Amino acid sequence: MTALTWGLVALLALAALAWYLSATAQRIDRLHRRVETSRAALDAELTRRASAALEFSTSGVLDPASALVLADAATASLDAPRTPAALRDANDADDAQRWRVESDLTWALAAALPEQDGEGLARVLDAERRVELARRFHNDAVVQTRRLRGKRIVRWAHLAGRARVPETADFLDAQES
Amino acid sequence: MRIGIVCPYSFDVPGGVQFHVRDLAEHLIGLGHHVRVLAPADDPATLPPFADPGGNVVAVPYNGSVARLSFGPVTAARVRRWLVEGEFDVLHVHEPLSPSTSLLALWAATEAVTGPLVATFHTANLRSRAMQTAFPLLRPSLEKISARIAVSEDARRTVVEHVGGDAVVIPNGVFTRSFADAPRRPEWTGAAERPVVAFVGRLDEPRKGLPLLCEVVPLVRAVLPGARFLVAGRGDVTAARDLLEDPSAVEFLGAIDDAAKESLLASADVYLAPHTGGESFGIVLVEAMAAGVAVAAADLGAFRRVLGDGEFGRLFAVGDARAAADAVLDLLGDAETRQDLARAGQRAADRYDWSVVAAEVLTVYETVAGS
Repeated sequence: MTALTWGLVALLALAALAWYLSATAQRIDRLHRRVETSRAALDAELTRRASAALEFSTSGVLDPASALVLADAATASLDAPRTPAALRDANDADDAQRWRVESDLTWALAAALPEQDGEGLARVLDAERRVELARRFHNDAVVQTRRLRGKRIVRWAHLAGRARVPETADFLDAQES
Repeated sequence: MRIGIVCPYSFDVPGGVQFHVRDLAEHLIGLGHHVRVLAPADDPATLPPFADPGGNVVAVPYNGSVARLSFGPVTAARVRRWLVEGEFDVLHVHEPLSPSTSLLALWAATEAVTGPLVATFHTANLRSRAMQTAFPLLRPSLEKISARIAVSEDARRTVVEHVGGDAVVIPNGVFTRSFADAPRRPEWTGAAERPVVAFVGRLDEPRKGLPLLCEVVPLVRAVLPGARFLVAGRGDVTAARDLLEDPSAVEFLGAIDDAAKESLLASADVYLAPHTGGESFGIVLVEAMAAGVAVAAADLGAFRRVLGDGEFGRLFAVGDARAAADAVLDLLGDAETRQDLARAGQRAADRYDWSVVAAEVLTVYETVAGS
């Protein structure tokens, strides 16, 4: 009798543990997908910003010196190696170079953009704002993923599989420059 | 774009979140988007045409006041069905932590059904014990949110400290034109010897500052005996009168409708915001600025940011009746400064116009939905 009760209790505990692990694995999976989609969105917005900056630099509105500085920073951003958004294939070492280039473009934009409004300028400013948004949403996803993956049970049970731990995108955007 | 918006509070009582949801939905519809709003309601007839009833409304004490919410299995099922039938490209949940339709929508949502989730945090005080106890249960739902919006820096700080992660700040919107174009009413318009000071806010919530206002009245009238104080807002007028030495010094207008509020702000000489705390944004200041009235406000973080550190309105120390009276007297005594301040405020208020705010919200939708 007691053996049966104990057996039942053990079975229930095991079932609860299994449920908890599978629910947590599902959360991690969902967060990983969020990190990947927000990273892809950030990449798209950065590309959009660089091409808007390049177009503006060649539009003839700027003085030649500012235009050259801006064009240089924008091309560097467009040429920087893109790491794949997928958490499995990417390597964070590649990103450090990328974020340096993007910070440079933010600086170049802050230095080169004229005060007054203009047709092409609106596009650049809009692209800058979108980069800010995309970066914040991405970093938000990364912070929450890292929090959950830091939990002991997640590490012991290998719930995250072989996906690497994501890193925040650390570059200057217009908000902070 | 097909947009679903979830409001946690019933539309049958006025409130900042409900107004925000209503105005945002109307503006987005005006831009040609397909918008459906889900809000607690028993009867669809009480809702605006773009809203669907979310389930029976229950008045429950929550977080220090009585809230009209919707929850329970019937509501949960209805929310789930609404999400499936809506086929939204993006789902925008307001005040995601309030135990009502918003939390249920968050709980039921999956990316496959609803598209990416956007959430707006309105409040700047989440520190309830219940919240701390229940938080581990809420976290998996919160992790579904792709983009978080806070309506002010203070609301954002609350998100960062209590929920973790980050949020972008997009302020509350105001239809600034309807305030700027509001007709003045002669009975509320001041004259040289009888200037008008206005205040809009609930009478029975001390943090809105009515007790302080009652201390300011005699101080101002000692210098300017003709000064009139007009107070609009719901609450017990008799109890409010008891706070005054001279009850005839303040005219209580009771609860007034939007048109009357717009006219009151457009007619007055000075708007006094004597709040003592708990304000996350200060939409009434933006409304006053849009109406073109000079503002004197308590130096709260949220107010200081709206007033550009004093550039668009006069600030005084929180809870200091003498300082508040001096600020009001300064403005009433110098018509030129007052008008300059009012004009600067009106220009600054444009930043909060719905055309600007809704465009920012749409940019967020596009960023997460992959335009």
